[in-house]
Amino acid sequence: MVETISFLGTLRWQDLVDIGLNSYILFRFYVLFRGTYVFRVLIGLTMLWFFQQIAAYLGLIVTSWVIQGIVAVAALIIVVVFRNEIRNVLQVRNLKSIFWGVPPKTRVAPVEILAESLFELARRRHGALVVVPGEEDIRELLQGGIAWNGEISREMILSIFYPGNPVHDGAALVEGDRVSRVSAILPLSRREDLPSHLGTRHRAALGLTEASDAVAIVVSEERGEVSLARGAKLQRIADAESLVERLEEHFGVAEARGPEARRERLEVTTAALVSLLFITGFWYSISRGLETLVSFEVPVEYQNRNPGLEIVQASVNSVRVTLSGSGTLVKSTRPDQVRVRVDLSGAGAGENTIPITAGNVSLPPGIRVKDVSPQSLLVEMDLTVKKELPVQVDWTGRLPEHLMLAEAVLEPQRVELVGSRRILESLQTLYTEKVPLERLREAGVLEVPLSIQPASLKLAPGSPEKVVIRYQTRRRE
Amino acid sequence: MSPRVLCIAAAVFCLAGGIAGEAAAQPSRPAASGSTRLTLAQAVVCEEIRDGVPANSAIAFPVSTAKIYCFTLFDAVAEDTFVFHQWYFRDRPSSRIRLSVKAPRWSTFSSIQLREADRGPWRVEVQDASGRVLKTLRFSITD
Repeated sequence: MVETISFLGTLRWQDLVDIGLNSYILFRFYVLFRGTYVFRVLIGLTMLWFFQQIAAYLGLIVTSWVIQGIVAVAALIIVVVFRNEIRNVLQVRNLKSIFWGVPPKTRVAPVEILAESLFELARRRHGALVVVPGEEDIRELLQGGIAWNGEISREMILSIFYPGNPVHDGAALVEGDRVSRVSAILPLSRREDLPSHLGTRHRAALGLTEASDAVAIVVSEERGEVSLARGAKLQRIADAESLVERLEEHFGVAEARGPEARRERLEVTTAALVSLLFITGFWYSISRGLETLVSFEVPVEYQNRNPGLEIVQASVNSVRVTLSGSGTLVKSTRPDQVRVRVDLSGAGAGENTIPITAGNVSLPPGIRVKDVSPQSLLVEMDLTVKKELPVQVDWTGRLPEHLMLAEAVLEPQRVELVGSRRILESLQTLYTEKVPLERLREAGVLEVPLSIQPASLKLAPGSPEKVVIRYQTRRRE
Repeated sequence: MSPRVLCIAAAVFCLAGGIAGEAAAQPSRPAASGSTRLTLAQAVVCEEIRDGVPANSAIAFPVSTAKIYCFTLFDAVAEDTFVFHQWYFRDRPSSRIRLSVKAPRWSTFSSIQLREADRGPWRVEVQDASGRVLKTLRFSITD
């Protein structure tokens, strides 16, 4: 109890927002994708990941690798295979329904009328084949057919499949509350294990459901039976109520009334609680796992330096920062996420001792500073001044034996530098980069860059980066 | 750089009129010293001094030259005095040589012995008795 209270006391408001936000995102995923294959596959992937963790814990190396590989590949494949479902969720629903509310469960088709009509056809021994699409687009799988676009009614269904009707052969396509197409030809199943009493209608129903998530209802004229094909499986349906139930299940919507409404509310509430518990557990495992320590050598960054002062030297260029936190967070921390900033706003010319505390270290959330070494810096600063220096050519190499370098005139002869007063005071000459004598002819002009050392020195505005050398050689006496 | 004053030769000699005439023929850049009225008529770095005259003056010398000289000629010297030849290697003082200068006209020189480690930019400052720089000669020791 004391530990629980102690734990709750360490919670920050950011942690509560973190948990709440991610729980809601997970819950929204459930709401948007429930009833679709995507959701089932996601659950499958989650279970695979869970098994992989168990396998890794038990030391089953190969099993762990294989499951890890499957999960990694499946996560990519899921986006490709279920692109239609994902698109439907993101396109069909408006923005508000993505972020808020539970979609109302409306009836998509008058399934009772459809079911009663099909069982009436069965009683009359009139063959029939009705296709109800799922989430996937099946237009490419259907061939031929006649556009119908009639609102579903018992009389219309009976008349379409009346044996004397020219369109009674083939399948009727139900979209929403209408029969949109009749006499459509479906792809036939190529399975060889089907019972011999199943005719072309059954084979067509299976063929379509093998290639899509649609449902096909078949009425056998020989036996007066109603069968439902879904997911390449054919199932005999005993009565109209069962058919209604199956169709509603297919549409992923059931009437929100009575006990079903209560069941739905219970389901949504349970999903919300599971999301909260799952994310809380996940958060706890990441942020409050086993305490782990790690050390980084972090370069010191200086800020708020007085523009009139130059950093001449510092006692150290980097400090060793020891961090603590949960193993997961510490392992995922990269050195470039840890920064040590020193405020030089109070520093003046001369030596400045500046303490380094945890406040100087910026870290990713959830990581704490355990130690910083050294705990203070000695920063020597100096005034920034300008100084004009004569330029001298740094000749190298060798001229031919009979020649001598008689004269070299530079343009400009002096260049102004900006930098620390102490450094500039010790400088009396600014040299060029090395100029090989082998490049010289009898006389000529060269353009040579200046060698500015140390790098903290800069050329004053307006000073050229190169000098022009006009040289003259002569023969040795 | 290790302590070094290599072979420093300070030679003092009165110049005959012929030498004075030869010196006048050199492209001289006089630098007058206000307080001592010392006028530097010629200052060069050279490979040798032949008969009191600089030979093979240049601004780059191969290290194989072994010895180089800083030759200075003073004109219209009012009274006996002295000058300094201050040698620098890469801005670091190498050697400082005191040389006498006598009226009315005087030339003098100093020299350094070159070693392998002496490659790089050099300069010689010609200073009067008060340390004022009369002339700076810049040159390099090369391969």
